[in-house]
Amino acid sequence: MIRAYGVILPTFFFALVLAAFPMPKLIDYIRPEWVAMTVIFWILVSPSKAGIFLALCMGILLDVLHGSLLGQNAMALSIMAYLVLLLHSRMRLYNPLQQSFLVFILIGLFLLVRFWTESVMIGQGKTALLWPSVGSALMWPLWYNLLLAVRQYFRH
Amino acid sequence: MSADKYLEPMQNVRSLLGYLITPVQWVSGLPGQLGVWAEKSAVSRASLQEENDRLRNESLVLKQKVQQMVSLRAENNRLRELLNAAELLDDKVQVAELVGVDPDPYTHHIIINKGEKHGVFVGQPILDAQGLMGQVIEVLPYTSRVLLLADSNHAIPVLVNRNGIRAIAVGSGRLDELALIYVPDTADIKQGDLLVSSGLGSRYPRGYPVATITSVEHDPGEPFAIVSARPSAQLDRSRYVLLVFSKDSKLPEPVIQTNEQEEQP
Repeated sequence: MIRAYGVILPTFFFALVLAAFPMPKLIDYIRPEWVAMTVIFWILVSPSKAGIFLALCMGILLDVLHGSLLGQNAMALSIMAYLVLLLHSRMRLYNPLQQSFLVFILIGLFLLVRFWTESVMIGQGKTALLWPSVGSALMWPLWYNLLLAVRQYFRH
Repeated sequence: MSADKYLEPMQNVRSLLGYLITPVQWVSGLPGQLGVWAEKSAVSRASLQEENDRLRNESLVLKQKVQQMVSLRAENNRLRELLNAAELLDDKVQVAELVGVDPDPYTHHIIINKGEKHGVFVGQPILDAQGLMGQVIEVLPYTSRVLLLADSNHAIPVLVNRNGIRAIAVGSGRLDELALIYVPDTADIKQGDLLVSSGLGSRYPRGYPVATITSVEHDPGEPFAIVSARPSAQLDRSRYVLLVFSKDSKLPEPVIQTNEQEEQP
């Protein structure tokens, strides 16, 4: 169990770094939601270890990183994590294209929840919905295989 | 979320979590630091020499200006004493380095490498060599987040240096443009005027350059003139910024008690 977190947490660290990494403006608009994608991945491959609580913790860290209200990303990520927990057995059977599409929907929902809470709490939502979801869906096969390779490597 | 918005102690929670997030910020800034380091160590002797000469000249010119400044400031303070106004003090500054830029393309935040441990506080003004850059909005233990002037959620009270007309400069969301709002059509504002911070609102110290006017448009259909300005600070380029520890960030006291003296003669 503890060894598993020894792999899970560093991948989240890496995802957080990617989320804060300075990029050209144009790429910024389609910057994938790395942390959300990592949450999806870990719930998908080991739903017994990763779950809503992990999503909540990572969401709070993401909030601190982005300087948004504490709990905004956390709530959105937890809701998304719950959906993934419901879907994971079905999602494993999908081919990469279908998985990408589902990731597009899930990330879109995550951003939508964030947009809603933002507009309620701040009065003005500034989360872009479409392009980051597209970016995430495009990066999903790559990220999935990368994390899978990392996981396989540390399993032995 | 409501707790974070309305309760003061949540700042401590955030600051604690900041310890976890600081390494993330540090690592994400690493490639940039590497680039700077490579640039520094790969520079040729000739260009160093050239830069050295240039800096020496610049330093000479600045020293000459400082000499003048000393006497001017003394004179200014004497005159202000005559007017019974508060003495203008020098602001203390601390140099900080930019370590990150907020990835969100719809906001203009930067991360600097000074935080709570260095005495940074929320609302502290940030300068670069050319002018005001913005203010601190969030303090973590070793880093802090700065809202730039050009962010669309930011506004700063300014006055035209030439004649003292007051206005409010709000960010446009683009890094090279500020907009002046509620400027009457008859106001004497021209292209090329320098805007300095007015110190009203007691957040920014007064007298620092903010922007220069780039265009003034009078549209008969609009109630106010459309004025846009270019920030003096290099919002997208500065690597080193100055944190201002303002000694008198409060407004000067109104001068009422002098009336008795004035009536006597």
